[in-house]
Amino acid sequence: MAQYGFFFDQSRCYDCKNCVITCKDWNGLPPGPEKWLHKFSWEEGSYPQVRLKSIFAPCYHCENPACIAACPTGAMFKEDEFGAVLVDASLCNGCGSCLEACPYGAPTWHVEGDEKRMAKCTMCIDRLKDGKQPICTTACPMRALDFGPIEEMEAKYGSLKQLDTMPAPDATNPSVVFRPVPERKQLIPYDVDRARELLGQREGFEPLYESVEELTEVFEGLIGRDRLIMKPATAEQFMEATRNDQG
Amino acid sequence: MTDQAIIKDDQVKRVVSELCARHEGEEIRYTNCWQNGKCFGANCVVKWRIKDGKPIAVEPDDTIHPESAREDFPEDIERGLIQGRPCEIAHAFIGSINNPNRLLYPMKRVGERGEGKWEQISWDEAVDTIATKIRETLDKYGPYSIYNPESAFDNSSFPVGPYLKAGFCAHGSVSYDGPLLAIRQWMGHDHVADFRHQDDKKYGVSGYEAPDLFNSKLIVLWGWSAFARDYQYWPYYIKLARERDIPVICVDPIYNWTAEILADQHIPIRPGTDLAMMLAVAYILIDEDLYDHAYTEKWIDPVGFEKFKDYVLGNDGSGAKTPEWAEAKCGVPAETIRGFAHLYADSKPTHLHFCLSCGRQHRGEYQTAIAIILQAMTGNTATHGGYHAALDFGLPMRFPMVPIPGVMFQRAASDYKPPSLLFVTEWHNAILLHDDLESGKLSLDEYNRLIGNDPGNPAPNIKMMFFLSNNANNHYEVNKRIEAIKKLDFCFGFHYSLEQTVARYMDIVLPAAYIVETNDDWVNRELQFPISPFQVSLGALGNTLSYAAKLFDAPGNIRDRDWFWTQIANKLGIGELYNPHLKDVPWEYWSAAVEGMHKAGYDMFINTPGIADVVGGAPTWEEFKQKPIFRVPIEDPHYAYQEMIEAGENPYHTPSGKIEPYATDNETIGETWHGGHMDPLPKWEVDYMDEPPYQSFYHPKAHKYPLNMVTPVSSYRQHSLHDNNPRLRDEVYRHAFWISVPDAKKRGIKDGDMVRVFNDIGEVRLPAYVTARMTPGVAAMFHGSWYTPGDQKTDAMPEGIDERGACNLLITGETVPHVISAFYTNGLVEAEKLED
Repeated sequence: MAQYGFFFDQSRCYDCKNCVITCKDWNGLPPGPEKWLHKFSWEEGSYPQVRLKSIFAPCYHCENPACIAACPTGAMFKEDEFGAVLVDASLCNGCGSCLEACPYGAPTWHVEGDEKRMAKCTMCIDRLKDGKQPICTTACPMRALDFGPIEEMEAKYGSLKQLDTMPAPDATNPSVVFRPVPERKQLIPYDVDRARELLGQREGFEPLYESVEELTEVFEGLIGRDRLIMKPATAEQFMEATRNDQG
Repeated sequence: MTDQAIIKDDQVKRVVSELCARHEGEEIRYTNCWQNGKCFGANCVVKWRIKDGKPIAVEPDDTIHPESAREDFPEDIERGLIQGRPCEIAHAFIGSINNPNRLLYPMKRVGERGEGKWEQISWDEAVDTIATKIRETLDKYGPYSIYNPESAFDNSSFPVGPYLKAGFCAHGSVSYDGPLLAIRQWMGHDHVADFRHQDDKKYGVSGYEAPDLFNSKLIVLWGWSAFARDYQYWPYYIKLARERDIPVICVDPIYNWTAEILADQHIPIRPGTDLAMMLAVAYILIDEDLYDHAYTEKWIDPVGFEKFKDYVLGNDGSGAKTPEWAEAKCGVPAETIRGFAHLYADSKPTHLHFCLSCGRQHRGEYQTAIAIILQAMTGNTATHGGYHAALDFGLPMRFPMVPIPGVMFQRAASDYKPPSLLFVTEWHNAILLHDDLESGKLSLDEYNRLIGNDPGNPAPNIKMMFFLSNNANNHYEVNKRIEAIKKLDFCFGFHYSLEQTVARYMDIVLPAAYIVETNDDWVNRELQFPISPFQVSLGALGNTLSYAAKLFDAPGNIRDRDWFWTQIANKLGIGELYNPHLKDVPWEYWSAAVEGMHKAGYDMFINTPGIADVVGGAPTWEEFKQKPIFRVPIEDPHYAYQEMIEAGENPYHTPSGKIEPYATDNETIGETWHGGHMDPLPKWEVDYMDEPPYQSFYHPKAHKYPLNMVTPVSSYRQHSLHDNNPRLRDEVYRHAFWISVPDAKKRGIKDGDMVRVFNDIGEVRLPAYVTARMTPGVAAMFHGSWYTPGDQKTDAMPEGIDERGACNLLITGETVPHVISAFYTNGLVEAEKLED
């Protein structure tokens, strides 16, 4: 059995969501939480020492898919030609066991009236059959994505299968490899403490903050996306986690 | 096979064949995405899937390096031979085309302006009414009474105007805003004159091609959020440069994705204080003698350079502009400014790209000017791997321009030259102040001064306007613009939805087509080939030529703009002059007739000797339409003014013939050019004002409205176009008010809270985005959301408080006594949490 997989270069991604939009366009999905490809971004740190991170999360078409093991009806299956994990809608009873089992939250609800069943990333098997790439990988303006036989991806890009606080890959062995954002370089001296002191003052005005803690200390809920949450509890939280504020 | 395996095999076949069936029988057409000519950097190739005349999906470019996701072809990248991958707008375009709120038929207003009461009318009635109004308005109020605010480069966009000897234009916007004013005054490149061939000076090609970034030793992105869609190829090439170990620094008030993904180091700075930091960099370069003496002697005016040095060093009594002087103003530690100056002086060539927005604020031309001066002092203005820092227009034509007389529209020549009678964003004041001119409260000189009209010119008397965009929403002082529109005798526009802000106030709204639904021209061009809709990118890479054909019919009864203007011309008896070939073509045959002209133009182009060699073949029109893209390799990536420098010519048309740190033309600008003051030196404090720039971080109004709001462009809108696309807004982004951690805490605001953002002239309501990515005291609201009045009205918001978040409601436009040249993008505001 062949296994194809993705490469995601976190150091190139600016979270434009083009991969998500083009996925929905190709697959004819309506606006709303039925996103077969999830794109998360979040911030870390406090000003001016901040990092922005993002993760590309379609289905990783795992070698040992937890979703298939959890599916009581045989609706979830893995095909042999590319190793794609697919869902047979005619067998899905909408129990949601697959979503619960998937560490990455990849299966997604397809709702039609009162009916709910699972849908998911197909690896664009319809395009693969035509000798094409998945629609998302070739749409990336920064060329941050790649796709091919997983051994080929590993040979090219290494075997890192976990970014930041993602679930560990041991249990399911996802067919994906990552390149993380690099550590920050400092080309010229920058004294953060001095900067924070300066940024609190405003010549001729009241100070912008009295103590540095006003800048550096945050309470729960002050900032929205300050960590990676791959399986938000509700559809509303899922929408919030997969949106950015770049518009 | 076991039974189990057979069942599974059947299941795989069934599920996969269902998936594969979804896109069977679709037609494929390629086009570009030159919707409003705004994506200067981009010449994206958009692949449409169409079935039964309806768009189904949009695929990425596969006309080169097909099915290569990573597109790792170093040699082709060096030569600019890469895919033109479309942005998120193109991939979501069908959401706009099929938007349930899309306007499909001409509408006539039946209630008050802004009331939202409409009645569908026929195109005949629309044409009759508008033609009659044009005639009546010109008869009653003279030639300067009809105005379209989308004019640019001192070019009137009143299509039938020349044959009625009427219409006028405006300077500003992409002609003389702060950045282009600085380029003209300090560097001697008059882009308007250049475009319009208004003088006999020879100007160079001021742009650079993206692969030239690989020749840099340091790249500085100053205020430039390169990921904004306008610059599709640039961020990719900057990223590749960084991956080739070319250091990149980003200077910005926001820790944006440019800071994270493109830059090695981010230097936070307060908006509008770039000038202070750059003066301090100049101080180090002069004080420590680190500037490029050979280059300076050759290209900088020595007299002006001494004056500039005296100011920077403080020899003129103004105080030394040391890093210690600057740090408290800009928030960048002195040690960092010094470190930046040293790295900058040691890294040759340095590519410094100073963003438009830093110049698009009050006294913003000084900010652009100092960037130009720094690049000249360090010998980086016009050299491989360098850049003059400021905005540019145009790249070397990698495709020969082929004049094609005798083909195309053959519109009649007219000797009517529309005068430039105001600053382009001041049309609202031209209307609102006109009563004072009539009553004698304002003299003609004072009136002209206040609207940016040159002394001695006649006054405009605007009684009728037409709009092709959501213009009134997209510039500062939205409320005053609406007030002005309401005073007009008549106005009409082409719009996509009745909810677009400006459409609400029209007398007649005509339904507008998107680029894929029409054969209309999208950019004013001379009658040359390539001609719109044949496009060559204006920025980043100019080596791709593509053609935007009409791909399918628009829904409802949406028609081409040029068909409309031709009917207007016919009604006014000037059809033969305006459109002799097509004046009698009925709408059913219009698209085919225009395409016939495109074909004739193409045939002349492709059959011109030498062209086939450049584009690598001579496909027929039908072949070309299947894949309407030509790419030519770039063997030597262009740097600004390359041809002139290499020919030993001088690209700088200042009085001294060199780059002038002291712009001598500014000494007399008040008398010669629509009034007002401008200092010859880029000064932090100016003699003609006793306060900081309006709407700046240190302006006294900040005591009342302490947040200095910036308004970046979004990659999800073209200005305001697509704001209501359901595949974008609320789906992949939230339009919100960006506020820093300490500012949010102080106001009891947390992420997602609804806030009211307000000042003396406006109020908008939207959710808060609380983030550690913002400089304290600074806020942001992305540009282009449609002002949507709610029920609650206030003195500041007579049409209703905005419930969608249109930043321009909060930005004022005062200029005097400074020269009128501004195109404001920032404001001073306060924010409050709204009770649940």
